[in-house]
Amino acid sequence: MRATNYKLILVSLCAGALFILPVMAGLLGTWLPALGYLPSIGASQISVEPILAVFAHPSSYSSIQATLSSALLATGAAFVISQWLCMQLYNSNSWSWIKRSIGLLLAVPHLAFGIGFAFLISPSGWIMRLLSPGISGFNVPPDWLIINDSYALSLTLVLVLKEIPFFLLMSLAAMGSFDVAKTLQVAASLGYSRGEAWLKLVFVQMYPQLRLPLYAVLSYSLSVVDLSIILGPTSPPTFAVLINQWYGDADTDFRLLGAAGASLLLILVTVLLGLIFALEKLCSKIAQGWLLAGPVRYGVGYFAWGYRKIAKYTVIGLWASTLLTLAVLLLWSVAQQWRFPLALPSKWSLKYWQLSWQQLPEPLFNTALVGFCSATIAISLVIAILHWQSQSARSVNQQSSNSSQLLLWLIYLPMLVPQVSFLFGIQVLLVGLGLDGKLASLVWAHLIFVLPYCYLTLAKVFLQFDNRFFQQAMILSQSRWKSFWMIKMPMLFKPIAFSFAISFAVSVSQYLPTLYVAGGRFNTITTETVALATGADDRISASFALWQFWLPLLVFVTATAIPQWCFRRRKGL
Amino acid sequence: MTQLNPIAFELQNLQLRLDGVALFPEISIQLTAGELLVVMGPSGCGKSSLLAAIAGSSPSEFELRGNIRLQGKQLNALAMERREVAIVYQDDLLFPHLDVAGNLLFALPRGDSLQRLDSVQRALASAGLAGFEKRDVATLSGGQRARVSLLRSLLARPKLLLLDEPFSRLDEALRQDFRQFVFAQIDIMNIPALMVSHDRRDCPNSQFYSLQDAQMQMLNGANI
Repeated sequence: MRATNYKLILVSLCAGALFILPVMAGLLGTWLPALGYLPSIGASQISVEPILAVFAHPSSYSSIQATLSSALLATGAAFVISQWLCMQLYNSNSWSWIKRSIGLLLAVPHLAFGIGFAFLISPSGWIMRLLSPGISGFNVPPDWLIINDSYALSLTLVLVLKEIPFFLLMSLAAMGSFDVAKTLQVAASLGYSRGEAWLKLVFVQMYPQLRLPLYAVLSYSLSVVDLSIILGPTSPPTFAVLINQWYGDADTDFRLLGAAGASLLLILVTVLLGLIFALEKLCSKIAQGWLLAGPVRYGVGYFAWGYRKIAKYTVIGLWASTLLTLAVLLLWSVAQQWRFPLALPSKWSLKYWQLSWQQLPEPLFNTALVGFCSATIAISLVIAILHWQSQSARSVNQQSSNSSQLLLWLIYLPMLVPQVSFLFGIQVLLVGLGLDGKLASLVWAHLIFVLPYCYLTLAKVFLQFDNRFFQQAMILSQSRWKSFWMIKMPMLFKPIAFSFAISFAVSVSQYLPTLYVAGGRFNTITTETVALATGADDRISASFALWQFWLPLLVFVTATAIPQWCFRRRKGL
Repeated sequence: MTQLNPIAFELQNLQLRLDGVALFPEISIQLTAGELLVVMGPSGCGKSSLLAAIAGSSPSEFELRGNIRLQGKQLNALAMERREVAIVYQDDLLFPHLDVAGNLLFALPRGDSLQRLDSVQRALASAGLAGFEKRDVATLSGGQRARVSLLRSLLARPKLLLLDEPFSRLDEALRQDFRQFVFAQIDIMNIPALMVSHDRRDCPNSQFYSLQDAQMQMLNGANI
């Protein structure tokens, strides 16, 4: 048993060498230019000049302001709404449906959803068309700034809509580790209302497992680039987009500015995460007394029937926004002519499909290839780590030991560090090693970001697998190999397929890693979609976004259908 | 004498320690082929841990002292899958993704496929489950699942059978039925068996081993 523990450490170290070191190297490769050191463009004087230049840049302040407000608002709203939905809808008649369908929402990439959503809510969008001219009285689109508004509200809204499903999935996983129904029952018998019981007993137990996802979402919202290019403010854009523009400037001197901005963004993220952590500590201190103060007699009905109804409509709204997005993308992709107040296109055409079809095969193939490679490698690594983890656990209750806590943080690291803060460094590193623009480098770069999600979606179920099944199989078959492949893997086939599909979707949605590592040699559906969404014809843009929407969904539906079909005669699974 | 009554399974001065504290007094037990010994003791005294230690599935935090010998072979350091020790729990642990025949075939050693199928059919028939080969295990009743689980363990041809409260999930009528089935199978297989139980009716000859006192006792309280 000692040996397996040793193996776990070895695997962790390998994972560290593969993923953590590059992140560190990437950070260093960004910090040095931020301090004025980038020999490849002839800068070798260490100074704080680039940092000061960021502060002096006229765009910086309002850019950072919009970034901060949208990220904090989006993360906070998505987190609170998701928790409120859990509280209201747990074990209601729609609960099992929510559990089953949440993966589908999660598989839709932010970018495709964002583009489609813009087609819905813009002043000339579908919603306005449906209201015009009858209700709104508009015969031409109103001159309102809805998309790319300077407060980044549309960006915030899309982030909220996309992060709620993620928080819901993480909450579902967190609820798997204790008996929520019994907890609520006991609390009710002690006179607690559902709302109070949920806050004091259920949420408090869930939070430690939601902490890292919360941090990851905040970091993502602060540093998202592709979605922000489509929906965010434009002059100036959000900070991550601004940094990306500096990096891409024809004048290479701007690289130093970009690196300095990227380093400042990392500091910003770190400080904010630190503040949230401090806030948590403060809240838990203050809440101590409140937790034990006893139930509020005849307390406010957080949990009245009406609230549950609102919660239900919120989930329906979540689904409706996704379906409407899909519908409007479909409509635009086959529209030849669609004048403003009309509810539907007046002329239809498959021309734009054919046009996009000529450009599609290569990016589509690249996307699928990189997605399959990175998802397959990720799921194999994660299964290996988890299997060793499950075999080396001293006992079931000790899975949260220090070493696996450390492993968790290491795995999460790429999700907590803004991509734009270290990808430039990685690019410099790869160019230096002559490894940029290689397929293997691209797969590996995706893997850095796919692996955390893969681990995140599989760990809970995998570690809760009743190890006695595996032991029984070993006793019966006298073979570790057979027990692993014929018993443990098939019994976990469903969650593994789910995790694979999510991993694939994460790979598809990667924009910056592809941009920085592929060296222009590999275009994916995502880089093409971003390139087309800014400027090109709406109809081409819609048909590309549609492919970005579909591909992960297709993989998701297939991956969940295969185990379903294999075990169609097995009720026990 | 040893020729007539060979000792098949033996625990010599066995002790389990957790963080330096012994779970129960040192125990020494000898079993002959076909013999069933029931181990009793208050809950939490380490009955299940004892079985896990013998099967080789106990977590590394437990420290094992003394000897476990099966057919003259020392088991202490042997990996679980090499011990030839079967263990049956109150949970049947049937593999939900395989049908009844699949569960049984998984335990059968490699060989001619027709012969293996034949063994499965005969095993099922012996348990009154003829024709159940293609059934989904999730559709079986509790009693049927218990039987398939025991058959599965025995088809692996173990040299020792461990039973961890195998009857406690079954209702009264089924319990009596399944108990007779288990006793009969142990007799047919002619292997030693160790059972942890709470139920006095599980004890053959009204005797049991008290883990707490580390000695055989009669059900009426007398020491032996």
